[in-house]
Amino acid sequence: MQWTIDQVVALAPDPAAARAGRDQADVRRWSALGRAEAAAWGECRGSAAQPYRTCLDTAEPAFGCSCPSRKLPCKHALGLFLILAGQPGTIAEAAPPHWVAEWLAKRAERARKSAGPAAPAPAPADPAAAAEEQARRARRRQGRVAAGVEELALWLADLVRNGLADLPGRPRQFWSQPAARMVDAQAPGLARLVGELAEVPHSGPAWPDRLLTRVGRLHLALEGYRRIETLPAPLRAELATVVGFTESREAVSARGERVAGRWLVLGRSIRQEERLRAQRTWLLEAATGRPAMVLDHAAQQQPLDPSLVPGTAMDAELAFYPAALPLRAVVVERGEALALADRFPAEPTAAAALRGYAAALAANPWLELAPLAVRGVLPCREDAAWSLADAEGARLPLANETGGLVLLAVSGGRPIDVFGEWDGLALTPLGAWADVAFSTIEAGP
Amino acid sequence: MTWEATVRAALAGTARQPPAGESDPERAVLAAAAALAVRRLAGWTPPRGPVPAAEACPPEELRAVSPAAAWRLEALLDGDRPELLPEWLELAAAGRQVVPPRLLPRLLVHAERHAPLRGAVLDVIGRRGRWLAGQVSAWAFAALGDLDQAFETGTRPARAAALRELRRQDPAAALRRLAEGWPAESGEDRAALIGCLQVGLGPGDEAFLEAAGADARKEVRQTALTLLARLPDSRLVGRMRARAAAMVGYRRGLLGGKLHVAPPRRCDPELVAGGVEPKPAPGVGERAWWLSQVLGMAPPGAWPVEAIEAAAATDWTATLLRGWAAGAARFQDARWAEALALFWSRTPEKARSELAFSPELLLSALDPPDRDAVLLRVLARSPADGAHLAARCDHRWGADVTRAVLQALPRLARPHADLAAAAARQVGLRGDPSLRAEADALAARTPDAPALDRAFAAAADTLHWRATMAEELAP
Repeated sequence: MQWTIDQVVALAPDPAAARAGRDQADVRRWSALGRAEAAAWGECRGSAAQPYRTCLDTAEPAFGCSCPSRKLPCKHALGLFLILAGQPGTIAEAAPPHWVAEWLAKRAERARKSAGPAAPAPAPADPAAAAEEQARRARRRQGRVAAGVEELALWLADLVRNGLADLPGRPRQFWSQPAARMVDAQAPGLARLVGELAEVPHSGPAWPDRLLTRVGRLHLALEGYRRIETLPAPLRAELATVVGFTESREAVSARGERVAGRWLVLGRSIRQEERLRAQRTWLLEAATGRPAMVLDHAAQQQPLDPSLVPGTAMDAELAFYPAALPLRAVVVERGEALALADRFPAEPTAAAALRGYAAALAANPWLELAPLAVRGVLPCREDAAWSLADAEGARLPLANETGGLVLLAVSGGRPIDVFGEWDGLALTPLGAWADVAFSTIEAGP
Repeated sequence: MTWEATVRAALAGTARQPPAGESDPERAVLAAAAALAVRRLAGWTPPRGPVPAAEACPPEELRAVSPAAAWRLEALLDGDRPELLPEWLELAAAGRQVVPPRLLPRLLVHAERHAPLRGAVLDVIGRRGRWLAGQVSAWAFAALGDLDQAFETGTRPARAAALRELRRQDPAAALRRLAEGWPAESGEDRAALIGCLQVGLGPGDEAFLEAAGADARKEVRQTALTLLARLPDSRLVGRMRARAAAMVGYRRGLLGGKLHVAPPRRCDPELVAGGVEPKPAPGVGERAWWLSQVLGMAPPGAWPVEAIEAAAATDWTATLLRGWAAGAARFQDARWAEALALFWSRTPEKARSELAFSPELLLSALDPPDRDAVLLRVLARSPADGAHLAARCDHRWGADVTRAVLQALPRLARPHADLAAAAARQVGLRGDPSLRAEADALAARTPDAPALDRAFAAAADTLHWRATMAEELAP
C-alpha cells in the first residue's frame, strides 16, 4: 500500500524517536537511495566513519540498519521511510545492491521456516529423564505458587481486617513488598495485580469503590486457584494466565485456535509496568467483528513491535491463547498492510456494546480492559464530564478530556463510530471513523 | 450485603466493625466484594439524557494541508523549533489550506496559551475550528461564528476579536457598529475596543478618533491620538506639521545646510490636545521633550535628509534625531529611515548611544521590501553593522539580503564571532530558503571556531527545514 506520513510516524517507538527520524528524513543525508517493489534502501551519513546501511520492507513493515541503535525502527529507518512516504519522487527504482538482496533473502528464508511445520526440536539424549526433569520443575513451581497464593490470601484478609480508610497514607513499600513476594513465588500476574493497587488510593473521589473492585478480583483469583482442578478447562487456562502462567508464543502458534480473516488494526495503547512497557494492539475481524489483542512487552529502552499500525488492515491468520474468553492472540501469517478503507464493525447502541461487555465478563470475570466499538455516537460534554451519546441518548463516559475534544473535532457535530478500551467505568478512545476516514486518537492523559 | 455496605465494612475494617453472624468476617467481606464487583460492572447501565442537539458544522470550504504538513505542525506543537510555527501558519493561510480536524484541539490549546499567535491561528482552523471553538469557552477567541452576535453579546476579548474581524471585512460598516453603541460602553470596554480600529485604519476614521481624543479615560485618549497620528492627511497631523515647520527650519548653503531650531517655550493647549505628553521623562529637559514629540508626529519628508548632518551642528542633536526617527517610523518614510540608518552606521560605535534612536525600531516600522532595501545599503557600507541590524529584524528576508548576509558572514567570523553566530541563526530563521545551497557551502567551508561552525551548520539545516516546510504547504 501507499504509506502515509501519519502511518509512518505511528511506527516510531516514542515521540523523541519520531523527531529524530524527521531529522533524518532529509535527502541531503542520504546516498545510494533506491527501491524495488516493497523494498527501499539507502546509506545515511552518521557520526561514524562509515555511512549506515538502512533498508526496509514496506509490505509488513520490517527494518534493517547497520547503526548501533536498539530502537526499532531506528531513526535512520524511520527517516528513509518518511522520505519514501513524503517525497517518493526522490527515490528511484533500482536493482537492490548485494547487502539489500541478502537481507531480503534472509527475511524470506525466515518467513518460509515459520510458516512451514516447526522444525523438530533436537531429540534429547534421554527422553524419559528430560520429561521427568521438566515435570519436577513444573511441580516445584506449582508448589511455590500455591504457597504464594496462601500468603497473599492472608495479606488480603489483613487488609480488610485493618480497614481501607488509612491506605492513602501508606508508604510505597506497603504495596511493593507483597508484589515482590509474588514475583518470588513465580506468580507474576498476581504481582502485577497487587502492585497496581498502590495508585488507586490516590486516584480521586470514589477510590474505595475502585480499590475494592480490584481487591475483589484478586480474591476471586486466589479462591479460584485453590480449587483450579475443579474448574472447566477454558476457565482453568484463563485463571492460569491471571496468576502468571503463560504459554510461549511458539506453543500458541502451534496449538492455539486459528482464525483467518481480514483483520483491522484499530488502536494501540502502551502501559508502563514495573521495568516494562506493555503494548496492546487491538484488532477486529472485518466480517465477524471478532476482537483480538496482540500484547507485546519490552524493557524500557527496548523496541516494541512496530508491525501492526493503527489505521491499517491485513489479511492474516491469528492464533489465540487458550482462554475462557479468547482475546489475546499472535499473528501467525500475514499479508501486506492495506489502507483501512471502510467502517469497522461496531455495535449499534451503547446498550448493545455494554451487553457484549457483560457477556465477556461472564466468561472471564478477571477481564480488565475490553474492546468496545460503537456506531453513531456524538461526543458531548456535560458539567465538565465527557461522554459519547448514542441515538437513544445513553451516555458512555470517556476516560479523558483530550480524547473527548479530539473526537468532537473529528466529528464536526455529526455521529461517528468509535473504538476504544472499556475498563468497566469509562472508555479510552483509540480510533474513530468520521466523515469518510479513520482517525487514530492518541490516548493522552 | 449490598455493594455500599461492603465498601463501608471494608473501609472501617472488620476488626473494628465485624459483620454480624459471620465466623470468618474477612472472608465474608472479600467474597461479597468479589461477587458484587463483577455484578456491578456487568450490570452497569449508562445514564441517559436528551439526544444532544448540537448544531453540526457546515462542510469545510478549504482543503486540508497535506499529511506531511500536518505532521510538521504536530512537531512544531510538540516543541520542535517552535519559533517556526508562525511561518507554518502564514504559509498555510497563504495557500488557503486548513488544519485537519484531529489537530485542532492541540492548536487551539496552543493559541489559548500564546495570545500573539491567535490571529494567525484563526486563518487556518477553517469552519471546523471555529465551530469547535464555539463549544469550548476557553476558545471563545476563535469562535467567530456570527460576528454581529459575538460583538453584541460576547465577552470583552471575544468582542474585540469580532470587531477586528468586522474591520477586516468592511472598515466603514464596522466603525458605524462601534459608533452606535459607543456612548453606552463602559470605560474598560472603550479601552479594549478602540485599539481594534488599527485594522483597516483610514481617513474615514478621523472624526471618530478626534472625538475619542477627548475621552474621559486616558488609555482611550492615548490610543485615539496614536491612531490619528498615523493618518498622514488628518487635521491633527496637519497641525503638527505646521507647528514642527515653525520649530525647525532648514536653509541650504554652499557648505551644507543650516538648521534653525526653536523648541516650544511652553506646552500649549493645542500641543496637549494633539497628544503631547507635558511631563518630561527623567533626565530630559522640558523643551527638548516637547520638541521631539512634535517632530515625531509630523512626516519627516518636510525636511531634506541632509538636515540629519546639519543637526549635528546644533545644540539639539539628540532631540532632533529622536523626533525624526519617531516620525520616520510612524509615517513609514523609507528614505528617511535609510538616511538615519546610514547616519547611525557612520557614527563611531562609542558615540552611538548618544544618537537617542534605535535603528532596529526604525526598521521594524517599515514594510518588508523597504526594510530589505535599507538593510542592503547598510550591509554594503559596513557588513558588521548590516549583520547587526539584520540579526534583529524578524521579518522574512528577501533573497538579496539573505545572499548579502551569507557573503558577509565569513568576513565577520574572526573579529565578531558572537555577531556572526547571531546573524547565522537569523539567516536560518529569516533568510530566504532558496539560498540553502549557499548556506550549505558556508557550512562546509574550512573549519573555524567550533561554535561558529555549529552555528553555520544549524543555519543551513534550518533553511532546509523551512524549504521542506514550504514545499509541503505549497498551494
